[in-house]
Amino acid sequence: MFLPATFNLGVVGSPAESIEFPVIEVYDTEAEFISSTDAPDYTIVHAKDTDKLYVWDGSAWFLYINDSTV
Amino acid sequence: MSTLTTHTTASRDSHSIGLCKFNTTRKAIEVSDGTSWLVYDYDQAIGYAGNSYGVSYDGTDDYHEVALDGTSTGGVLASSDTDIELTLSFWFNPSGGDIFGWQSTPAASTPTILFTPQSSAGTTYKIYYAGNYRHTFSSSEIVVGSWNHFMITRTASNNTWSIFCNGNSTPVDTYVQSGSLTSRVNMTNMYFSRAYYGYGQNVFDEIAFWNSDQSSNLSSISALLPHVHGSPQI
Repeated sequence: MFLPATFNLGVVGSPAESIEFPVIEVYDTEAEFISSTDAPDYTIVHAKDTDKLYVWDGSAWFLYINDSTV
Repeated sequence: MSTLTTHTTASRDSHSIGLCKFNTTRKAIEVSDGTSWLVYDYDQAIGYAGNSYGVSYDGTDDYHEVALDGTSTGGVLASSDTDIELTLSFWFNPSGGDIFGWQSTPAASTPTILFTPQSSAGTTYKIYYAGNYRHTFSSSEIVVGSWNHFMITRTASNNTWSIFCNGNSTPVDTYVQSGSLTSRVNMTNMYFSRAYYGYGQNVFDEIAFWNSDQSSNLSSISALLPHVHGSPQI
């Protein structure tokens, strides 16, 4: 069973206001989820061992390679 | 839920700063800055027929021979010529020379299907099928130096060949062939970037063949875009 994390839409306000950022599920390894085919369509996750983003479109995981880390 | 909402290349959402969408056409993550979409194309896919690579042919000695038997005896197509259904689809970026042939030898003079320049050094292309050169492509149908989608289909129900360019549902050419399939005995190998005139300087991507008519799926087939629109890894 694929259990996605809660995704909160962030609102960027003035510096005096608190800032809430979107949060996506972060896995330690790609292997934890890459074989899952029951994720909700268009689920977005991150894997720490590859530093890639992943989107499940209902038939495949599409991978986005990290270009740089700052 | 950590899911993205979607839109398509043809019908993107209205801009809103920070809006993040999944583009179902090109499988890209897109973020609006208020006036433009910042597009993040995918680099790889798992569990999917596509990948991030294309194949580049140098025009000198590169080509691929794919043994695919389309003859009437034991091949992948129906034995009776009038029952043949097929679809061949690919994206290609031509710079000159031959594109494709379904024939017995690399430079055969009796092909079944031949996609070639009008002359050995030309970049105006024509296609031979059903026993004759049936169509010469205009410069807008096949753009040299750009990615072009090509699809040829044949139906068994009405024996109609159709040639589609760049996902347009209106074929650039059709032909009804109720008789036998010309030179079918030579329909033994597919050659990419090599045919009658020699070698072609091309980049190919997303080559696919069906022994069925897939013209009703043209839009989804042609949506399998060459990676990052012109810059596949090769």
